[in-house]
Amino acid sequence: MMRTIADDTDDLAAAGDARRRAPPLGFDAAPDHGADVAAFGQLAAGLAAVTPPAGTRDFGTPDFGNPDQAASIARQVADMAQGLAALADRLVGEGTVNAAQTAEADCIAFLEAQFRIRRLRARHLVGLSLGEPAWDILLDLAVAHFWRRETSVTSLCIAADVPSTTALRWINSMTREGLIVRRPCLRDGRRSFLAIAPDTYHAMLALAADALRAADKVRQRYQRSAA
Amino acid sequence: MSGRTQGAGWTTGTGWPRGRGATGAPLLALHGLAGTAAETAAEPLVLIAQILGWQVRAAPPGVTAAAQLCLAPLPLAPGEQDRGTLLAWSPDSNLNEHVSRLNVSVLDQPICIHRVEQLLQALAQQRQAARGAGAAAAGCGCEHGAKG
Repeated sequence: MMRTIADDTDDLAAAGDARRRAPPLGFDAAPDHGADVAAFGQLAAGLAAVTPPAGTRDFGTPDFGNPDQAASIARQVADMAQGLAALADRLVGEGTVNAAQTAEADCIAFLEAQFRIRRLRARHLVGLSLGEPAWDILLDLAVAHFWRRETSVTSLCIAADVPSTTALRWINSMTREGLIVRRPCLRDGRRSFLAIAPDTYHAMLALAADALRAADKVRQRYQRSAA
Repeated sequence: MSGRTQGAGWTTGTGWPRGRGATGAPLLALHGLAGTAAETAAEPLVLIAQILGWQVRAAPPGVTAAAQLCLAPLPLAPGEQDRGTLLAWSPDSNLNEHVSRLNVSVLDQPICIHRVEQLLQALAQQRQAARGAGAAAAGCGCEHGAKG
């Protein structure tokens, strides 16, 4: 019988906690953060170099009576803000750090949620055809790989959520490009199923880990704004 | 993107290997499909075959291909419109049993993806089993021959 993501809901609920406690995948070791520390040091030095204008007792109560000094401080603060923003972006962009810190199950849960959100689009944005079957195919195969589920061509066509021939064209092209591989059936080695290529699977996990971290940062920013 | 590789056909080469594809993969032969409505109708089957690792070749006119599966347009009655209906058969009588058993000798339109996938898997499986048995028998003969 063909299983789909929808069939795995109960399995996910039952096994999710156990998997969630599992150690993260063997991604690359955490990168050297020396460059980031140095960048922070430069920013700190920059802050220290901002000398209080004459006539002020401390930095917190500057005298902005001098327009040149005020403009100079404003420029320095703006430069530092840009530096901090760039540093934050770089930290968010480090997939290996995120993947190493995020359990595989969390990444897969995120990818499955993405798949479900894409199905919800049809319900809430009626009449809109947003497409992108290749992404649906990758999401379905990544989740299938995690659950050791064998995916037939037919099943993948359904996951692509486009007409069959269109889905087949995409699957064929992705197979030629090595994103999808044929695997022998575990029960019957003479039959074959489709699976996500190992490199692609790891890229999807890294993407999910990055996305989770980015979502956390955005949520925190909104919470700070609301406070 | 497109599943097709050359013009109106799906062939990737002009050569016609005898019996099997260049890589030893099972072979799907297309007979007289070019330029017909049946060619469009055959596209899903051809794509599934390629996805499952089959070689796909257009058979030159008059050539009986030693393929595992052949496709051709259903001959039309006088005055009948080309509906794109396909005939499927295997030149290998043993494999042809699978075609008959799955009742896909005349392919429905639109083609049932699941049934076609089952058909191709069954044909590839039977072919592989037959080759395995043949290789085992040949190996046995060679070994005894060498000793003798």
